[in-house]
Amino acid sequence: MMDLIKDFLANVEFFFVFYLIGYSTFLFISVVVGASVLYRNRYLEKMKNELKHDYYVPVSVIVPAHNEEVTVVDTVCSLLQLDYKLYEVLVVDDGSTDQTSQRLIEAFNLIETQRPIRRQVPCKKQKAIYEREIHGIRVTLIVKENGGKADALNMGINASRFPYFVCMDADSMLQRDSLEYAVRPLLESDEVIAVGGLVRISNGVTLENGKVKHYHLPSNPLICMQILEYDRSFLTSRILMDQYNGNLIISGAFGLFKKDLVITVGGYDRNTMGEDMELVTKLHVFCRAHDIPYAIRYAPDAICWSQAPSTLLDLTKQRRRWHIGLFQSLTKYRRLFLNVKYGFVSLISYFYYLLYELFSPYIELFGLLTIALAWVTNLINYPFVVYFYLVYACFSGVLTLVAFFSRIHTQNLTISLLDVIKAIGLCLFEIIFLRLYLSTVRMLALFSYRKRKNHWEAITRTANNPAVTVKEGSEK
Amino acid sequence: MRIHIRAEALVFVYMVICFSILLFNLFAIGKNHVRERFIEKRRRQWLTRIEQQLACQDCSRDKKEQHRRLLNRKLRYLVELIAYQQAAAELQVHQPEELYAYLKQYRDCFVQVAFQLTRKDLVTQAYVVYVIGQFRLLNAGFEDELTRLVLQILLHNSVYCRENAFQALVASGNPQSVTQAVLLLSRNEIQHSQKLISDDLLRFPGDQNALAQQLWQRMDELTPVYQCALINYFRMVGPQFAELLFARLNDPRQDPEIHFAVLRYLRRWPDPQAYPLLLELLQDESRSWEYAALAASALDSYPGSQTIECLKQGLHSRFWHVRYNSAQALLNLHVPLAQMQDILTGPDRYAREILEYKLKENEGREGTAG
Repeated sequence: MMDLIKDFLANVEFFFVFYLIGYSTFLFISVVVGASVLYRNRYLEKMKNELKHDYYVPVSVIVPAHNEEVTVVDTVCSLLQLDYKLYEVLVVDDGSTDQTSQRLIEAFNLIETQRPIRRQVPCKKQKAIYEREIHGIRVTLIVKENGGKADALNMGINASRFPYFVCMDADSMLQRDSLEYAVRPLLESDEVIAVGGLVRISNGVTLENGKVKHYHLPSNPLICMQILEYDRSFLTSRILMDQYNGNLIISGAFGLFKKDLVITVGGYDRNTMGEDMELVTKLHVFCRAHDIPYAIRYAPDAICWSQAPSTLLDLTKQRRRWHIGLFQSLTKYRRLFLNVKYGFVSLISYFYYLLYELFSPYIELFGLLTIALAWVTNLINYPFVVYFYLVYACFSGVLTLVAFFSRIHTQNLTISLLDVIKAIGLCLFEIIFLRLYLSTVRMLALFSYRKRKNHWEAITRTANNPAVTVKEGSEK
Repeated sequence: MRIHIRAEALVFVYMVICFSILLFNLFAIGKNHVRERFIEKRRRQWLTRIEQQLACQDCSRDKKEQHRRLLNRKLRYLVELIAYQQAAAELQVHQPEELYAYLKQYRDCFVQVAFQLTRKDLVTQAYVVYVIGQFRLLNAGFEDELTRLVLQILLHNSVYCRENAFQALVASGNPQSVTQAVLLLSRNEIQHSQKLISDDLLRFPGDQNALAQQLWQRMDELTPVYQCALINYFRMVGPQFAELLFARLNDPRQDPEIHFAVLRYLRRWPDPQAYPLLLELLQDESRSWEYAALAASALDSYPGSQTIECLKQGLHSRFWHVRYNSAQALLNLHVPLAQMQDILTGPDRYAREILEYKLKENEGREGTAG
């Protein structure tokens, strides 16, 4: 029996060594590539290697909203201040039970119209439509029956007038130049069908007229840790995947899409919680299956400021939703699993998300159980376990700091010494505690998945930046 | 145990590299800081020097030679060129004509610098052609060696090289070199955004009409993508191509995208010859819906009872965009409400809804304007 356990533990050990080497290598490469791409972007800008034009692609900005009375007016105000020539704003109120619509109607003097909507992708019925042109930008509010975020986005697609649309969250604010940066990849190549923007945490940032006035790490350590996590995990990995056209996620908080192709694939899937990932994966599958040359790009200079959950409960809800969405997308497109036909999208991106995102909590649990088994059978090498864990934690901490400081430096932000100390201290804390906690949340997410399908999560919002105001009659 | 050691070793190697990146971050921050201070210092120096040159157009030959030698010696270094460009850009705002005259005087220096620096990487090449464009250094004849250099860079595999080179050629005000550039891009099947091409052409500082005529002469040598870009540009230039473009609309061998661009042109610059065809296109459901939708839009530039009747028919189309554009065109033509009563009280719900919506939208707009 003991021999059997020894053999088992040896195999487990062998698996974990390779698992961790794989993960460390991915993180390492993504941080190195991410940092170098950020530096190169700044260099290109300084050397006037940029497409700066007044005449751009017309874009519809779709804002799905559900019980967003606290933030929705600020969000629309910030959208009216974008440095962009031709766009419209569509807010889709998905059956809010609060004053979301009323706040918008009053703030922008919207007028009810009988606008017919061309149904090209499925969505629930509209109850009322309000419109008005403000400084040459058409603002439309569509009040509809509750159907979930994907349903609201589909309604936005149906009602949009322009050939490209941007999806964003109602609690987010686009930086003034974000649309310009998001559109640039479209001008670089006709094959670009979607562009993902960089979602950054707005807590602790003062925005004035869509520009960053002050930047500092917030006092809430939970949000600080999320900032570090975003830089290490999301920013750098998306830049890396962008190098081989392999991004499987464009965040729902800020993504730009070619409308006709999205309509061709049926729009957002209303039966999934991770509609953003599902759409991007579907576009990959569709274009490759039909031999359509395409590119899905990531624009780290197109910045969207979004509120991070400030309590552990809200963070738990958010991550549970993300994990269920990940599960739904990966299982729906399981044909991508190690399928050479889909190239690096399958062999690297899909495999990474499957092994290191979807399965990781279960693999980690399995690891903990084997440690327990080794402890029971007295086969554990304590000094080595502690030593290895510390090495791994230090390594992750260093990677986090590299990603964080590269981003701070290349985006011309300045932070105080206190923020530097905070970042160094919290990066280890994030790895040791937050990651473990989130791993548990993700592990339990799938158990409640059936119950939570197609529901908007209620997350506590605080008002967006008060510095964002639009004066009637003032120039855009 | 052997695997443990290897895994640790690998993680240690990664960690060392990451520390190096952190150090690189610090080094890069320091280096950038020093470099920016250096460029700023140099920019101020160049500003004084150029201002002195602008102030004394009748300077002694010695002084001019001294300045020429300085330009030749310094500008071959990229940082010096960056500082120089920043200083000159500042003067360009307030004294553009004086600056261009000064730059023309020392043009040979810039030609030399351009040939030296364009041996470097694509990023530097794109920057050099940007400087050439910004300071309109390509104002010489077509056979000029600098123009040939820019035309070469235009074909490089970098969107920034292409765009900056094309902008430089446009800024030259020479229709021949711009035409040559478009031909080269098309012949080499280089993909460059239509929007960028037509937008750049509109910045042409010389005679737009002469440029448009030159481009028209070579239209048939271009791929449909470039033809569309040019038709979009012609649309902003004037009505002189209406008849010629109408012939293309009549030609079924032409790419549909060209037909669509022509329809947009004929909306802005109406041509009586096109009128019957536009009416036909709006009613013809055998073609793709884009033809009918664009014809409906174009018809708002062709007032008349036949137009109104045809647009009213368009309101019954099974295509959303045809109905939408027909309704918009009827309103743009200020058709009296009484003349649209049959639609507003008629049995076609789709036609009624779109017209009602457009009428209400129009009312709202007029109310806001009032």
